[in-house]
Amino acid sequence: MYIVIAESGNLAQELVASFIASGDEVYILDTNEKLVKKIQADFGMVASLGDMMSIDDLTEAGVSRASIFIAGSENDYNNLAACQLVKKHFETPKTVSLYNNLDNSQVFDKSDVDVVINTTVLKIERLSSIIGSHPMMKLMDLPGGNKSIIAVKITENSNAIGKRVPELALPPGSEIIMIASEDGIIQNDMEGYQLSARDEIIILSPKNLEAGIETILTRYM
Amino acid sequence: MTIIIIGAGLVGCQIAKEVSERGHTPVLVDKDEKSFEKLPDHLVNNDLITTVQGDGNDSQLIKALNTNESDTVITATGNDTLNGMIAQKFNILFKSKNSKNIKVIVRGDHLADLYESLGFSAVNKTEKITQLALELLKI
Repeated sequence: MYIVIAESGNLAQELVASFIASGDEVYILDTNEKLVKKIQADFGMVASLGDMMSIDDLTEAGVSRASIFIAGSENDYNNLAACQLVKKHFETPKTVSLYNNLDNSQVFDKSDVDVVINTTVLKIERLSSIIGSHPMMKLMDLPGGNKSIIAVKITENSNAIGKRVPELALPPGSEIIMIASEDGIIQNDMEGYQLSARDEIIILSPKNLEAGIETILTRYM
Repeated sequence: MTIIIIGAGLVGCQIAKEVSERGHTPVLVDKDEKSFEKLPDHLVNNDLITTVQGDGNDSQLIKALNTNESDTVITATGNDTLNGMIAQKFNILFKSKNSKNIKVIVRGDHLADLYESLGFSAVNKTEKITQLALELLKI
C-alpha cells in the first residue's frame, strides 16, 4: 500500500519507520527542509520538500497512485483543505486528517474526508489511561505560577453527578476546559451537560485550589 | 438582507465601507478590535457598520450572528483555508439552502475551484487584480 503523509512534523520519523516495518510504501511531503533531509538520510528518497496545498507538489509526491493520504499539520484549516483538494484532484481512496480544535468537529465530520482524528481526544484518552483510578491529577503548571491545569475523574458516588457546570460552585478563577464522558465523547455543550460518574474533566485551576476542586467533584455526603 | 463579513483586513473593511455606502448595514467581525480603526469614523459612529470583536471561526459567535437564508456571508480573513473552514461552518450551522450566498475570498485557482465545487461562491482575488491590471493597461 502506498501512503503519502503531509506535514506530520515530529511524528514523521516514527511513522515512516512504522509503515516501512509493516511492509507499506510511504512518502513524506513536508515544508521543513531539515526534517526532509533527516528522513532522506535515514530511509532514502522517501521524502521531499513541498507544500500540501500545491497540486504540483502533491502530484510529485505520487498522490495519484496513493491508497491513503494523511494531512497531519498543526493547522486544522490546511488539513481540511488539503484532504478536500486531494479528493477532488486525485480521487484518493482514503484521506485522513488530524485536527486540534473541537469546535471544528462538525465541519470535519460532514466533510468528505474519510477519517478524521481529533488530537485532543487522543490526548484525553492517553490521559485517562494514565489517570486510571486516581480522581485528580495535576497536568501542568502554567507560566506565571498562578494557575495549573488538572484532570479530575467524577467518582461513583460524587455529589456532582447529575449537576450542570454552573451548579458546581467551583472556586472563582477556575474554569472547565473540557468534559469527556466515559465513552470518550467530548461534550461541546459544557454548560448544559449533566455530569455522570467516571466523566473526565480538565480544569484550569487557581494555584493551591486544586484540592478544593477535587473535593467538589468527588465528595460524597 | 444582512451582509456579514468575517475579517476586517483591507479587503473586509473596504467591502464593509462600499456595502454601507450602498445603503446596507454590514456586520464586520474580527478578533482584533484595532482592525476596525481602518473604517471611516462616520460609518461606525452612526451605526452604519456594525462591528463585532470575536473569532469568526467560533461556532458560538456564528450562532449568535443568527444568519438567515437571505443573508450574505463573505469570508475575508486573509487566510484562504480559514475562509473555507468558516464558510463550511456557516453552511452547517444554518443549513443553508443556498450556499452561493456564502462568498469565499481566496488567492489561487485551485482553492477557488475547490470551494465552488463545494457549492460556495468563490472570489479569486489574484484573478480579479490581474483582470483589473490588464484593463488598466488596455492590452
